[in-house]
Amino acid sequence: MAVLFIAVPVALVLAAGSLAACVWCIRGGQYEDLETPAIRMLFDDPRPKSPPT
Amino acid sequence: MRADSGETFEEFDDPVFEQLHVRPLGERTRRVELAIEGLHCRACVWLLEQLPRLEPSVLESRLSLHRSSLTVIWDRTAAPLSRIARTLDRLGYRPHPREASADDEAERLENRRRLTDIAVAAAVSGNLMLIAIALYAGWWQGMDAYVTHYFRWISAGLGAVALAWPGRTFFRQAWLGVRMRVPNMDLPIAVGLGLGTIVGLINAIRGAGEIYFDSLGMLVFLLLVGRWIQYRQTRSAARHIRQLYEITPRRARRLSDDGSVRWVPVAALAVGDRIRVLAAETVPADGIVRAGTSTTDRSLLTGEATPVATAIGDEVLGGMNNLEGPLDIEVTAIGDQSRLGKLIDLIEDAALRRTPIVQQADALGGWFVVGIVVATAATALGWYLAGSPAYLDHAIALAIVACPCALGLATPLAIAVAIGRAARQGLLVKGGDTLERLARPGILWLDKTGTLTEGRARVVSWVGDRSTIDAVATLERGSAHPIARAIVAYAEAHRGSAASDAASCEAHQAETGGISGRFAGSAYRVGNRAFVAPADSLDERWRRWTERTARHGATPILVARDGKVVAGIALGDAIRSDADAVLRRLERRGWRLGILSGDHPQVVAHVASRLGIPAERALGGLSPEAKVERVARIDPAAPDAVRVMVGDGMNDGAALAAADVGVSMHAGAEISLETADVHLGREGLAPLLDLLVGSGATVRTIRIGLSVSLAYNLVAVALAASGLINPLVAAALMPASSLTVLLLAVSGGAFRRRPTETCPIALRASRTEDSTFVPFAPAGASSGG
Repeated sequence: MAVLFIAVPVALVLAAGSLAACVWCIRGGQYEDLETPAIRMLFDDPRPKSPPT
Repeated sequence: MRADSGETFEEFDDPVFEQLHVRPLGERTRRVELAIEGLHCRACVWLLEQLPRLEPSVLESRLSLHRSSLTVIWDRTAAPLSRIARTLDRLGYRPHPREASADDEAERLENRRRLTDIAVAAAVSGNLMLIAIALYAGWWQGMDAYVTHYFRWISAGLGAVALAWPGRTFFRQAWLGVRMRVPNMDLPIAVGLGLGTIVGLINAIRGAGEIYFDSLGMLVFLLLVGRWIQYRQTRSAARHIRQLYEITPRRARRLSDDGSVRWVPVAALAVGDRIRVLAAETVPADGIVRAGTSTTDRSLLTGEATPVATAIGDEVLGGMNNLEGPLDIEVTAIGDQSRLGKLIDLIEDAALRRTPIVQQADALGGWFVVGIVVATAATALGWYLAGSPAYLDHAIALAIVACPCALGLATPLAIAVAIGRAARQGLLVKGGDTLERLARPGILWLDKTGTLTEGRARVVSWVGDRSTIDAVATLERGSAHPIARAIVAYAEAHRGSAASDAASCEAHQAETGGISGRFAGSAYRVGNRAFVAPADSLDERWRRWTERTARHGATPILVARDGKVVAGIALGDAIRSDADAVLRRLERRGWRLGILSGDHPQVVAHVASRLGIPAERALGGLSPEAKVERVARIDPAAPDAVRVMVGDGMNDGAALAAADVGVSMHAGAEISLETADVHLGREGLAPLLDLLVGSGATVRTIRIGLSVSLAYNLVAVALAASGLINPLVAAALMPASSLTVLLLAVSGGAFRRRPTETCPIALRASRTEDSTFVPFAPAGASSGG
């Protein structure tokens, strides 16, 4: 079972990584307005001035 | 979508406005956050974010539905902010300045801090659970001793992280409570966490016995989640209330020396400025009338129900309503020196005085904790006397399993669910423990004007010749005076439509004290006694009627046809149609009722006797200070009784803050919105009953949740301790307890039913009122306002 001495720390580092990502999102204000962005993504982008060829 | 209001929004360009609400970004670009009225549809997001295409000076516009606000970044050299405001107004979204208060930023940071704590607690307790499963599996199948130790030490390390980072808040709060000598809920939690950690560490070091870190981590996580849910609900209610007063304009028409008029923010006013207030507008600042005559409604400020005639030289205060004609006012006090500023000081004092009471109210959770501590001690003692070496393990196991879900989730979840449902019924509850405090009946102080009564003039009786209704209504139709409006409304309700149009009305003109004109060939005069029957021309019965009506606090209006008085109209501030029914039901639930009013004591006594409120608790003529003093006074006969204040005016603001729970009425003054713990978003007193009934139901739900959870855990502990189930089964059963509590909270009965129906009662009440309108039995039904 010696593999656990490597596998568990690796798992913990992965967990810490995802936690850091989550905290990053929170600090960036991603969780503050949960309504508007969900609607905003439904609208089309403004049409480009000249039609793409 | 509403039509454009025709406003110029020129106050948005004032330097003071810019200083208060606008933040500079670059040399030319500025950012402003505007509160937007009328956001309802999803398409609003699209439309408002297209603003740069409609108004080229706008560089970016971002809407937040969550805050009902629009952040605009624009080039100030290309267009003034007022032009952008007019564009928004034309689209149907009226913009208002949003106070960029420190609270906003503090709330944002607080929310982030809580979410971060929850994220850490979730990650740590999730991993602790995985390790616990490995340990249980090892216990089941056999595991090398060194692997077991390894896992136990990792568990201890993760547990330390959970306690030192997200768990620190409990230790800090508990310590604060101890230092202030008001122990709170965090104290037993901190003791439990601390004890569990110490014993867990000792067991980890000596390599035997239970380590509790998985339970401790989960406890921290669940407690934080529960508290965050409750925090979010109360913040959302507070935000709704804030929106209500953000959309009330805070601006004034300033007259410059050359006579031109310009809108400016109220904050830009200075002592000595001349301002103009038109009819139906609110006076923005304290001052002295320099031109114009009118009537002012002071009910929100002083509780007086009867409008007061206002002429040149009279003092007016910010918050009064100008009813009739335009007034030019010289500003005499602003900011802290104004009456409103002094009321705000008073409110701050009152709010400070209340703090200790808030924290004592947590008795329910306190008893639960005492129960656990006693049970733990008894278990330890029992096992010790029985000679078991594991007596400490058993006791701590009990403390831990009994604690988590019940304390962490039952209370905040039930409260969060109740607050959410209450909001859907229009009851906005700001404080988390408000519902708990309202659950037990205490003393309920009610303001009179605007709370027990409707707070506006209404025809309470029409005596004499009722066939004059059409004529009078037609004559009064053209007037904006509150008395005229009340008469027209009465006529419409009692004659189907106040039939006649202006065609059958030959002439009419409004004069001081009344209105005169011709209708269907007869000459009519409608107005006060001096206007209709000058000198002593009034005959005896009408003179008596006039005096009696005035004595009851109502305003008598006489109707003369061809020079002879034929009818009398009593106008008063009528008692709300649902008041009697609601008060009787509150009394049956054990509440003691009282009135605190700024209006004349005689009028208050009259309303109290009509509503069956004992005379010794019907107090009139009170200043805001006296209201605070009376609300804060503790009844020696019932020192624990919760003191609730219900009011709507500025003069109630401080009393609302001083009470254990302050409830502000629908359409109340802004300041009462700010200080109250609950805002009733629906008209009438019935919502108050819903609130009190719902609070009782919420606390019942909490109790059931706590008892079920406790019983569940006790059974689990008893079975585990007596060896009937093994730890693996117990661990699998653990989440079931949380789930039960969750289901109980969601299925609780609080604020479930439709709002109390008052219609049938109201209809019956108004019908009986009508049938008692016999001539010369005046205004028995009136109230003085």
